Amino acid sequence: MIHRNNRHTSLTFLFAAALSALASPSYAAPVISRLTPPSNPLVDGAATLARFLPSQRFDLQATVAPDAGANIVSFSFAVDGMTLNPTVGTTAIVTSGLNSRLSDGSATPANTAVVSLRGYSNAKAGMHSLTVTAVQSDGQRVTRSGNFEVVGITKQGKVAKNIILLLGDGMGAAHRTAARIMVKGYAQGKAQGRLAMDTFPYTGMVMTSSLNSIVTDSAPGMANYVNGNKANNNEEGVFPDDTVDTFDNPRIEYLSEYLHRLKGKSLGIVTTADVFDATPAANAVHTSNRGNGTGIVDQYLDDRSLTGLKVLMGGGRKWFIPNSSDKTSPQALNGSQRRASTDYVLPADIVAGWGAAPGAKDPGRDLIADFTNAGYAYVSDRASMDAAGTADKLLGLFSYSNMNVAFDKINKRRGNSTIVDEFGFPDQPMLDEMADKALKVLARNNRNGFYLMIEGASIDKQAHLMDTDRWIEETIEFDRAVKVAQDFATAHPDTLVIVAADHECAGAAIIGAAAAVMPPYPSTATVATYEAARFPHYTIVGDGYPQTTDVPGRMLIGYGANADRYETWLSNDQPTQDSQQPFIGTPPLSAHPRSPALRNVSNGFLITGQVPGQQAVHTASDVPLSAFGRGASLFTGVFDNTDVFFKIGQIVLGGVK
Amino acid sequence: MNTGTVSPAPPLVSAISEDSRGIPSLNFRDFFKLPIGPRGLEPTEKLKALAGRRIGIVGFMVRQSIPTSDFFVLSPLPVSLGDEDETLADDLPASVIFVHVQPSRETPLFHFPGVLRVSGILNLGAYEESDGHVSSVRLHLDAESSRALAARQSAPAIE
Repeated sequence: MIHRNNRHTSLTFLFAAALSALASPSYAAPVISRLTPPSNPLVDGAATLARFLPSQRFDLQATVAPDAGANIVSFSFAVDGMTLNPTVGTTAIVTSGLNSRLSDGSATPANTAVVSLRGYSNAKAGMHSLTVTAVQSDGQRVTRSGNFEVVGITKQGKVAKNIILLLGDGMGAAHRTAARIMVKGYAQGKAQGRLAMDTFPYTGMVMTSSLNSIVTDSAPGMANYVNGNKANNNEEGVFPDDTVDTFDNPRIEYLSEYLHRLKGKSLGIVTTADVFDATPAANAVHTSNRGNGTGIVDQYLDDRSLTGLKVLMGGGRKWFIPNSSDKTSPQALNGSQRRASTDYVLPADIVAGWGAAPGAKDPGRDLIADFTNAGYAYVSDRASMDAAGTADKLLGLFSYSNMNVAFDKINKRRGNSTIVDEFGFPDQPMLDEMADKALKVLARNNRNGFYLMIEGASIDKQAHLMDTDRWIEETIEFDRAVKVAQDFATAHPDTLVIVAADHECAGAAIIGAAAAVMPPYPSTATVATYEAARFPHYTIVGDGYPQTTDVPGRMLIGYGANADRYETWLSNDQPTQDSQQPFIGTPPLSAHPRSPALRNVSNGFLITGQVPGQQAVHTASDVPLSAFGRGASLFTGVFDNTDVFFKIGQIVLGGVK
Repeated sequence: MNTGTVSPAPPLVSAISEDSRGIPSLNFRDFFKLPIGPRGLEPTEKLKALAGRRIGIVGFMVRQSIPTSDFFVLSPLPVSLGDEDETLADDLPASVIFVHVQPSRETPLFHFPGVLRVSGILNLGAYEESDGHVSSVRLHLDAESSRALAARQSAPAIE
């Protein structure tokens, strides 16, 4: 519709406008489809969605669709009615590289603009209104309002200098209980010992949902704890946006960055997973795609001045080896997983607004060499980790992808198995050994304190596979790391230790025990329920793990979130004797590897699953969180995972009575 | 837990042995120098000598939660690849071979439990697969293995 400023025909115009208003009430105007941070409805009593600690940095962003033929020429943000005056270079209008659909599913109109103001922060506690104003090329303006809250800190008592967060991935109440039954034993109704995490004086229940679902994954599952805001599944340290680029999303400052900036604290990350995986990455790296490994590991190093990274240990060496396949002939054959398509380059406004490294698409980068040149000692197995002494900074990469599970690492040490040899990494440390080393390095020259995240990653991975004995032993290994952290906090009382889970995995349930008289084939008759379950007993040997999990009357686990599986109720399923194998002639046995992990079709019974696919899934159940040390008393009741960030903030900045 | 008596890892075989069909056989332990050193993988002389040649190999088909149609992965141990919560933080050993099927199929490949023997042309070097993995060692299935695969894929074993 064309507007005419023609006084001679003003009456005609008004008449025509009135007619058209009756016929089709569509006035041309630009439309704001998204305002970030996301807000809850602006009504009394609505809980604020976006919350921040005082001076915690975050990005402001909006998506504005102009009228056909027009474009967006300028924008501004206002907080509490006052227009912001951002530093030059920290704003941008982006009109290319947008998703083809907006957040409501409609096609993205031509010339849609994503407007950003990077690295904003607000020190004033309380609710704040946020308004974006966008100006179209013909002078029309459009606004949209939202809100956010700054959570205040009060001076209450002694602060915590160090924070240790132990994250049992997928570790719900049943996982903790099963580990206790296995490693401590019960008699006459009483646990004969406690897990280290059981001895923590304060325990609460955590609500774990993500920004877009009741069932989260490990990316928001970690990020929500450490930046105080909900995130979409698969996204870490960012709010969702409308651009294709996965490293340009609106950022939320992490606990590590915030404490390093405000207090000079250091960061440690220890995991049994590949170090690019969501749980470790969601402590330091901002991306909307948790799978972009090359860019994630590069930013661990490139943004160490933002995070204060001192210790990084786990698996995932495949990301740190140069992939020069584009450049050299013959092509490199070193196992590198680096690719330009998963690498990062940041737009200029993020670089200016955050002081972040701009990045480069460099799959040929030798990241281990860059770490050592930056002063990190590099260790590749337990022997070299022990020999490194108390380095100033430490990088440990103990396997190609995920580290092997405790079950297999312990069997190697006992001389029972060569699984870890088949993987090529015969001397991998246990998680408690890694935790001990990390604490020694972080505690050295520790005037300002540190934040250390320790993850027991394969509790979740083995629960997905419904591999009962492996995830229980992962939980036992995790608890041994908890003990290391607890001992540190006992010796250093200005330390807070938290044991948490990102979500529950697999709907694990302790359904009973193996029947005293086993049926000839595995079936539901195998499960002794109620009083017939009695007290499964496992002999624990000097290394702290069961001698074997195949004991009479062993604990049996069912899975509420399971996919189809064949259950044998055995820990070490027999190699298949299935004569239906295709391709095979007469394979010489000496050429065969051993197969303790094989699920055997021919001697298990089918348990039909409730979920599609082949693996168990996460559930929305609340998970327990236990706290020890300075400020631990804040962690009681039922609270949201984002609340944990603000409790930590209070403990570190204002203390607790 | 007890997997029976275990001998120490055998020394690398320097000579190339042949199987009953006269095709050189390759063992996963012959891919890279084991144990893996502090940096990347180092291919053995045996692996490099067999590049471009027809070889036979025995292993377990990796169970892929998100199956692919142009390749499957053969591993020295039974391994499962995870769902969307795992991405590339996987449990794959370094010594695996990405088996490319000929011709390319339209439907994802079914998983077979148990030990398989396949043969084809060995191909080395970094290559980006359709699922995001960068493979270092690949096998292009020969006619014999391709026929066997096609026959089994049309009548998959019930799992």
